[in-house]
Amino acid sequence: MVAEKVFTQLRRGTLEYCVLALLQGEERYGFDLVKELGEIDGMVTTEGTIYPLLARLRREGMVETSWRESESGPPRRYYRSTAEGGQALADFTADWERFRTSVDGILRRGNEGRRK
Amino acid sequence: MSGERLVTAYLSDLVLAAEPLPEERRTDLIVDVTSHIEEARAAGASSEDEIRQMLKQLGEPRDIVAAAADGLVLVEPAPVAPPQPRFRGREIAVFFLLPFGVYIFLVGWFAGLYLLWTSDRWTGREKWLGTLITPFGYASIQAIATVDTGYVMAGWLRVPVLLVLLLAPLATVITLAVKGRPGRSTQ
Repeated sequence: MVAEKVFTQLRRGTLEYCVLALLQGEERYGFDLVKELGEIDGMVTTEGTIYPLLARLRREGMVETSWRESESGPPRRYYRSTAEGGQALADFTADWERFRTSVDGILRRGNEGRRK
Repeated sequence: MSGERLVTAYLSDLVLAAEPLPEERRTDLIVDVTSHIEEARAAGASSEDEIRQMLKQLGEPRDIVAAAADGLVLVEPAPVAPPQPRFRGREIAVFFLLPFGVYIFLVGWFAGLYLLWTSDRWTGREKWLGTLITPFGYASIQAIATVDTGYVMAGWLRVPVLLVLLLAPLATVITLAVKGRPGRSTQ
């Protein structure tokens, strides 16, 4: 991948909103979340670092947790988004779309200029 | 190494790396990572290779701990000890009090002795030197010089002996000044 550093920063910045997005209207336990995020290309390189992120979202009141027994293994900590988490996601989504549109526009102009 | 031992080694690395974290974050992190590993094993990671792969995806314990430490100052950087001067006021006082302290109401010499023995600048040997050469410093030499010692030694011996006695406390002070260094008392 080109501009590896840029994407590392982008991933770092957007990961928590991807987590919040996965938790809208749905509860998930940690392992499940980690595997789901792993499906997003290149989003998670170090799975273990998701847990500190989840702990921070909990401290910030973006998610709530509860322990539940599981049939197949150890008890699971389930995460769900709070209203605050939902609001943060909505705000980020609006900003992200604006940002993406302007970056796309400029990149397009650059590429058209290159072909001339 | 069997899969079980890989997991044990990984978790003990994590516990060790997590030590500087505040209690709550540490417990949370260890519980979360432990259950992640158990989930992965329940989901089918069983052979040694599968477990190694699973732990690799999980990441280095210290990287995970670094993420958990985000925004925290974990360990206060060790304060750099200012370099200790070779001699502080109290050692300088020793140089003065051992030879001359006795003239300060006699207690001056004992004060010098106390400062000598409680300082870390000298070894036990050097402290004995300071104590024994010469007890009460110049006062004792002065006593020898003034008291008529004619019945102990021949007259011609008197001058060289006095010279030696005069120089001895000086030599001691010079020795202490040359040898003294912070932390020497533990040597």
